[in-house]
Amino acid sequence: MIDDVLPGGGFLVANVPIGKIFSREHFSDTQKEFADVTTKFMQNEVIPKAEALEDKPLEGDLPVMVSLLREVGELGLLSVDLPEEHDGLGQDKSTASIIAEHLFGCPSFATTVGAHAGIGTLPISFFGTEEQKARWLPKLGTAELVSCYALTEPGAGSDALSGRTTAIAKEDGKHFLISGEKQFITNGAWADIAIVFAQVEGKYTAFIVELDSKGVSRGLEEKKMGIKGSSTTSLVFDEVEVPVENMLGKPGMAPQIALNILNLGRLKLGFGALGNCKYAIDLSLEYASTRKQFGQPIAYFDLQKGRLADMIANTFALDALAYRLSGDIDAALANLEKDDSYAKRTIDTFRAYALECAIVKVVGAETLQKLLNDGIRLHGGYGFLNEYKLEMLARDNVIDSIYEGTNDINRLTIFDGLARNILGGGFPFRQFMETIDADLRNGRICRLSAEGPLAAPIADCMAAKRVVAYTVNQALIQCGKGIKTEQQVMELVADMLIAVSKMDSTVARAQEIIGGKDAQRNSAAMAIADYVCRRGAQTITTNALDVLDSVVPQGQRKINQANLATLIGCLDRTVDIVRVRRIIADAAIEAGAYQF
Amino acid sequence: MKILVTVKRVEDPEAKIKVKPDGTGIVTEGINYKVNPFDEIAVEEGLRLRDAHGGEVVIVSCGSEASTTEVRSALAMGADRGILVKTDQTLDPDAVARILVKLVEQESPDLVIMGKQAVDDDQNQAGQRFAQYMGWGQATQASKRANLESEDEKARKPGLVISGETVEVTREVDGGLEDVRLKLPALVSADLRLNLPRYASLPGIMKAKKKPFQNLTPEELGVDITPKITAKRFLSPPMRQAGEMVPDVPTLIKKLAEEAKAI
Repeated sequence: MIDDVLPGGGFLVANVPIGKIFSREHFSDTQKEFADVTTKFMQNEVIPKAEALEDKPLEGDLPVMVSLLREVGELGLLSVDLPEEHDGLGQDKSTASIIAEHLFGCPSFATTVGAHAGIGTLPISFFGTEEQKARWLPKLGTAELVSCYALTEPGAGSDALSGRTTAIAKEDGKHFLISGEKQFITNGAWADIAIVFAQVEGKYTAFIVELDSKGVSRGLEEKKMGIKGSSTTSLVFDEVEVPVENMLGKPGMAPQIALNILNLGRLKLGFGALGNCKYAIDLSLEYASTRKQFGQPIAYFDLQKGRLADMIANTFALDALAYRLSGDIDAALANLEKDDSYAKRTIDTFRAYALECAIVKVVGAETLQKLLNDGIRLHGGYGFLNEYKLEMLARDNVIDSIYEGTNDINRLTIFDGLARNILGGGFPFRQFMETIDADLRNGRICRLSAEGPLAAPIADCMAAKRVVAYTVNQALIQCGKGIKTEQQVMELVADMLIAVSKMDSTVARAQEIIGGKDAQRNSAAMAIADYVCRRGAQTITTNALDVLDSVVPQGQRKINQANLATLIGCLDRTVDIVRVRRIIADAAIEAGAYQF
Repeated sequence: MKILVTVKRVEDPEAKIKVKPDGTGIVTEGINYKVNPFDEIAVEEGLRLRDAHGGEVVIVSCGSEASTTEVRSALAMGADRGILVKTDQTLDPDAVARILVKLVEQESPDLVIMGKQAVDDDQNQAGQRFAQYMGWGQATQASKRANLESEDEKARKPGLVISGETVEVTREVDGGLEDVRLKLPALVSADLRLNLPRYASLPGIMKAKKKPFQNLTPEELGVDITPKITAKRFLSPPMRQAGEMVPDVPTLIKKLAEEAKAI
C-alpha cells in the first residue's frame, strides 16, 4: 500500500489517510464565521418563509425568492469563489463548500442559489474571456442579474450532449441565430441570462444569452413534487440573435464546459445534502427528546436510538467524504501557478476528481433520502404533516437523485473512472493486485495489523480495499470490453467503491476527533468508525459475491470463491452493532444536537 | 462623532446549560459562544449613527482572550476598531463600569452605547454604574416608535436622534414609551426593539481581520477588579411538577389555599 492518494479512485490502493485529510476540525476562524453568518441568515430569513415560498410569492413585482437571492448576494455568499479582480472574494473550494453546506433548511432556496451561482456563473468564471468576466461576473456576484444553465432538452436528458438546439452564424459575421428548446431550466422564470448550449455546424458550443432578447419565450412553471419554491420552466429560442462575443470558449467546447461544471455541481449537491442531514437530525433529536409515549421520551426507546444512530453515523461519513474531497481539490489547486492556463488546469483538476465528486453526490442524495425516511417514521403521524418540516425536505430531496446527473449515471461515472484509471495506470493498481495475488498464492493473507485506538477500523479498511480490488479486477478481466453492457455489475462495483470510500474517510476523520476532552464524544466517534466499517463490510461482501458469481465462468469459479472467501475472512471482525448504535445515540441525546 | 459600543461574549442562549456537579459554575465544554444579542443591537445603532453623522465606532469588550472573536464580529458588521481589556478573572458589573470609566477617559467618546443587559447573568447594572461614575446622563432600555417592519427601519435610519449637543431617546418603560433628551456625552443602553442588527457580510468578515485592534489589561488601566459580588453556588432550577386538572372553581380555591398556600 502507498501513502499517496491519487485522484480518480487512488484511495483504493492507498493507506487510510490518517492525519492527512481536511475536515471540519481544520476550519479557519474566517471559515467558521462564514458558516455562522450563512446559518444565521437561513434561520432568520429563509427557513421561516420556506413553506410560503412554495407558492412563489411576489414582493411588488419581484419574486421573494429573487429578493432573498439579492440579500445573500449583498452578504457576499454568491461571490465567495469568484476571482477578486471581478469583485469576488477569491476563496477556495472548501470555503465555498462550507457555504453550500450551511444553506440548509430550504432546498428550494439552495437550488435557486446553486443554479445561479454554481452552474449559471462558474462557466463564465472558468471559460469566459477577460471581457466576458468583467462584464458579467460583478453583476452575477450580487445577483443584480440572475443566471441559469440551459443544457437539458426534451430529447437530451442523461444523454446531455445530444441537444438539437442550433446556432447559425449570420452573414454579418457578428451574430449567431439560436433556435431550439431547453427544458427543466432552474430559475427559468426569473433569470436574466442563460448559459445556453447549441450546435454550431455540428459542434456543441456554449453561449451567454440575454433572456430579454427578441425570440426568447419562457414556458409555464412546471408543477413539481418538490423544490416547489424554485422556478423550473422551459426556454424556447426562436432565431434569437446573439452577438459572437457572447460565445463561451470555442466552438465544440460544450462537453468540456458542461461535464466539468457538473463535477463542481455534484460536489456542492453533496454539501447541500449534508447541511440538511444535520438539520433533520437536530429536528428529530428535539422531537424524540420531548415527545413522550408510554411515560418517557421516545428517544429512550432502543428502536429509536438505533434509528438516530443510523442517521448520525451516515451523516458523519458524508461529512468526512465531502470535506476530504474539497480539501484534496484545494490542495491540488494550490499547487497550480496562476498563469494564463490556470482556469484550464483548474478544470483539469476537477476532471481528475470526477469519480470522487460523483461519490459525494450519490452519498449525499441517498444519505439524506434514507435519513428523512427514518426521521419521518420517528416523528410518527406528525412527520406526515407539513408543519414538522421533514415532509417538505423529503419531497425536496427526491430531485437530489435526479439532477446534476442521475444517481444511476453517477454510478456509471464512478465505475468508468475507476476502470479507466486501472487500465490506464492512473494509480498503481497493478502493483496492489500483484501483492494480493502473491499473498493469496502463498497463503499469507491474514488480517492486517494497524496501530492506535482506531487499529481495528483501519484494518477493516485495508481488508475492504483488497476485496474491492480483487472483485473489480475479476470483473474487468472476465468481461473485457463486454463490461460496457454489464451495467448491473458496474453498479455493484460502484457501490463497493462508495462503501470503501465512506469507511476510509470516516476512520481518518474519527482520528481527528478522538483526542478531544469530551470522553463521551470521543467514544461516539469511535463507535461511528465501527458502525461505518461494519455496514461497509456488509455491502462489500454481498456485492463481491454477486459480481463474481455473475462474471466468473463455471470453470474458474472454485478458485475465485476460495480467494474471495480468504479475503472476506479478514473483513468479518466482531462488532456488536446494537451496542455501537446505543453509544452513538446516547451521546447525541446527551448533547441535544448533532455534535460532529 | 465618536461612539463607543460594548460587546460581551455570552453562552449561546439556545444552548442547553448544565450546572457543574460541584456547583461552582456551568459546564462550558461543547457550549457555543456569541455576542450578547442586546450588544449587537447597540453595535447596529452605533453604525447607523456613524453613517448618518460621520465619525467612528470603537468596540470594547472585557474578558478572556476568547472575547477577541466577539470584538471581531462587531468589526465585521462594520465598526472601525476594537479594544479588548483582557482578564481571565470573573468580572462583576462594577468592575466593568470602572474599566469603562478609564477607557472613556482615554478615548473621550461623545456617546457610549451598551446592550441593556447581558443574557448570561442578566445583571443590567454595568451601564447605570458607569454613567453614575462619570456623572453623565443615562437612557436605559432605548427603543423607538417606528416598528421593525417600517420603511425607516428598512432604510437603516437610527432610532436615536442626535442634534447639536443632545441625544433624544425613546425608552421602554412599564406600560409604554418615554421620550428623554440627554446632554452629550451620555450613556444609552439598547433594548430589543431599537433596531434589527445587520448580518456581517463575508467581505466584512475578511476586512475585520485587518482593522486596528488594541489589547489592554485592567492592571494597565489601573483598575482593581477584585469582585464585590461573588457567586457562592450554582443550582439548576427545580424540575417543574406536572400540572393537575381540577373539576371546578371551589376545588381550585380549596387547593390554592390548603396545598399551595397561595391564598
